[in-house]
Amino acid sequence: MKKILVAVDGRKNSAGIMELFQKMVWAPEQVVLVHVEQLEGNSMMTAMLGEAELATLKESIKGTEHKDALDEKAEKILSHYKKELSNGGLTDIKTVIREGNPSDEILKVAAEEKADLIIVGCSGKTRLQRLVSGCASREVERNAKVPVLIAKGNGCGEHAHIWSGREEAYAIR
Amino acid sequence: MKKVLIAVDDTSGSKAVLSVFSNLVRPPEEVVLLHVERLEGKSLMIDMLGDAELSTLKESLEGTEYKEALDKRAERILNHYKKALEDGGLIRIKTVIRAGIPSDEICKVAEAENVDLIVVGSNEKRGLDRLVAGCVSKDVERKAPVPVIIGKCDTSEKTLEVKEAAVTA
Repeated sequence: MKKILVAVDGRKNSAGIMELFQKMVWAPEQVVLVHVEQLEGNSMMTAMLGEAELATLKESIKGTEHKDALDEKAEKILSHYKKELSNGGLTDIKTVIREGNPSDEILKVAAEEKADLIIVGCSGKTRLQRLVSGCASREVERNAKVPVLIAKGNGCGEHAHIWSGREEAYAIR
Repeated sequence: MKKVLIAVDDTSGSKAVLSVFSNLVRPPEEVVLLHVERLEGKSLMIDMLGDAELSTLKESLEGTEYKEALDKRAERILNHYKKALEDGGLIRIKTVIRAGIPSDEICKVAEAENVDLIVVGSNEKRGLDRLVAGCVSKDVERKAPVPVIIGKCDTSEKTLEVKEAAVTA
């Protein structure tokens, strides 16, 4: 296998991702780490934004503290994963930062890079949250051309769904 | 890795599990090959059935020709995939037939067998169908205690191209 795209949104699940490479899937020649900045923060409105509105949003927050903070967070997350993965023996790692709708951006990068597999985390959202704001992993799974691996993080199973994952990710900010 | 659960049915979406298995996944010690019989046929009512109703349905179908046909089909599907996997060089394969709601049964078997990974095909249901009847891989992804790989076959490619074209236009 040549390339695996790994989409990361927080630092919480690097051990889980590493375990996947060591035990379950063949180590690829190259790993593409993607982080998508959510410009709209924690709001649920991203699904309702069209291309034009999203572009306006991008323009208007350029150079603001909010954007700087997002960039810094993205760098932190990506370098964390990069370090973890290279400690685990994967040397060829490319990092990509995008902004906008996570599932769209992940799919775009996957197509550009011609990834053979996409790995996404499980968001741990509740049913209602999913209904309202959608779920990146589900959207990716639905529209991807290549196989998608849904990694399971802490408490992402059926039993501990409600307050795990997402909340923790927000706490890091 | 010790055990992988591979869930298959007779839709073309299931074919993708073979390429996923041979190209992406490290060989496990054992494969559990699962097919879930859909007692309710193609109807969309399965989500509305409770456990009690489902077990009544199971009982009333016991011994009927319909159930026999389902069993025969399940055997055929499992044999087909078993042979394909064996051709790939794998020896230890356990086949399991269950009846009921596919995503639930897949997760139950995954737990009972203590598997490390689940491989499912992607379902070609789109739009409304998917909204009404749900989608096995989606439900599995949400409920499963272990990582899930959703295979992709060529049929899904066309749909995406159409969508991309619509966006650029």
